[in-house]
Amino acid sequence: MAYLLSYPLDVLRLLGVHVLLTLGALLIAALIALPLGWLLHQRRRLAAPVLGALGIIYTIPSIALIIFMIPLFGLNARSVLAALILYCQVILVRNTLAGLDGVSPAVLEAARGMGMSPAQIAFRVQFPLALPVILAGARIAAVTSVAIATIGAKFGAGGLGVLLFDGITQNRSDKIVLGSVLVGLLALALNRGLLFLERRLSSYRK
Amino acid sequence: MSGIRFENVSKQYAGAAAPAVFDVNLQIDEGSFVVLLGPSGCGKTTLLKMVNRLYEPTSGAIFLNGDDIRSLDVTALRRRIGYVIQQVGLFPHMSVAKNIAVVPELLGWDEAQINRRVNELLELVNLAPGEFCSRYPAQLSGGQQQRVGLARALAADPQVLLMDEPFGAIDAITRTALQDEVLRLQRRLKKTVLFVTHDVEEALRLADQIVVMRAGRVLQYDTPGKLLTHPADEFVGELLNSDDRVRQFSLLRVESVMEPLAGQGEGDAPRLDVCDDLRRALSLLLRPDVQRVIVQRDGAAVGQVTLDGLRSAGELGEAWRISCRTL
Repeated sequence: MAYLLSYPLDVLRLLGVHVLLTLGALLIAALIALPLGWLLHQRRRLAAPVLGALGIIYTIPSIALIIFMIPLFGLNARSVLAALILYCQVILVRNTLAGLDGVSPAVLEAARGMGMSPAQIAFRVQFPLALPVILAGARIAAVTSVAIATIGAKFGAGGLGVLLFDGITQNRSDKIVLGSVLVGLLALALNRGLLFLERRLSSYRK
Repeated sequence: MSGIRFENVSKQYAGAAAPAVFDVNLQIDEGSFVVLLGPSGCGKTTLLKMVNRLYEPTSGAIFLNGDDIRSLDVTALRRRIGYVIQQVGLFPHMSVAKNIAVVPELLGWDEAQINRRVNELLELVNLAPGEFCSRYPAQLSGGQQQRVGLARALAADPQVLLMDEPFGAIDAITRTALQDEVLRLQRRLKKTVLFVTHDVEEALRLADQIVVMRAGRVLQYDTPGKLLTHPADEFVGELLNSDDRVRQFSLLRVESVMEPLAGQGEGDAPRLDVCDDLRRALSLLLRPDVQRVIVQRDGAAVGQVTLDGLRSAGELGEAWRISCRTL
């Protein structure tokens, strides 16, 4: 607490970087995962191998995955971002696929029979109906990303991890506690926000 | 050439031993209500779905108002054809009004025009616009959902309506009400309706013409009356239970067997309207003290029905069909 009071701007900056890193990863991951999930939904046969490959990436420990990214992106935030995006893929793609699968065949048949083009069906029917399930995935991905992003501090990405690692090397428990509490609160807040969105968007189910 | 014409239409699904539809030739006249009837797997739904190109025929051609449907853009074709399915398939994330507005929106109508149309259609299917516009499908009963499904199919005023067992999942009482509704709408709007069902009663109630199908082939294409009195083969006869006189009577109106009033006044004989069916006349005639039933039109006696008259009804063939049902 003492640290927060003496350096509020520094803490705020670290928090800002952490949020940016997490949400940035989530956003970019979604931009990849949504079309990919839709493609897997259309081309069923690709689903098992792609989900399998993403599953394998998910099992790689986070430090190892970030290190794998360094030759590609350098020792900086970009490597951490890339690793986070890869982690999010499994969750988001799987949930996108599950969400699209959950759309009733009757609804799709009606949409086709009424003369909607495939793109109109995707944007007006499939994704709006799959969105609650996709958002449920986004919640898990967000919380996971908040946690993994702390490790990013070791690789020069900044974020709340800086407080933790500094606290350990300087033997400053106040920094460690502050960092942990903020990481926890951030995860809770993101979870809350996305849950709110998810409920809002599925209110039509009565 | 208006209406729908099937020319040598066959459909063979990949991997299936026999074709689902085989060499079908049909002319569906504009404004007529035609029911495709047959047991499950007879190809009736496949035949229906080839009209809006959800399935493509393996060979043969289908014409809509003289145009080969393959020469038309598929989405444009579908927007011209109303489509109603058994599971309704309302969009659960859209309000009732939004559901109905889908095709008009696709066609680029302006908002005021769409709103007017939505209200008009809700009234047409007997749902109060004020009450139902902003509801979601999950808040409707099965019958109400299918009313909305019907309104949605009619939204852009298509000439043709395809209905695939639309009332199959609806309880008996609601189903009868919806059947009446559809008949009333069809009489009023003069749509060409192609309606799939496996329910013989439903087919007899609704159809101007019935196409009886079995194993992908058309066995008979006739009026309900002809099918009952002159089934093409044993299968059709059995399917329609043509021997069942009482059933036939429920489809025949008293007018068709009415005799001139025989002199001796009307007495206290029971009365029926010309539009009532023969089944009612029969149950009245079976009462111990009733010799004849007086038939009246607009309250005035115009004829009578006797048991002997009923006996001759089987020979009528063409005069069948209650066309002036109270709709």
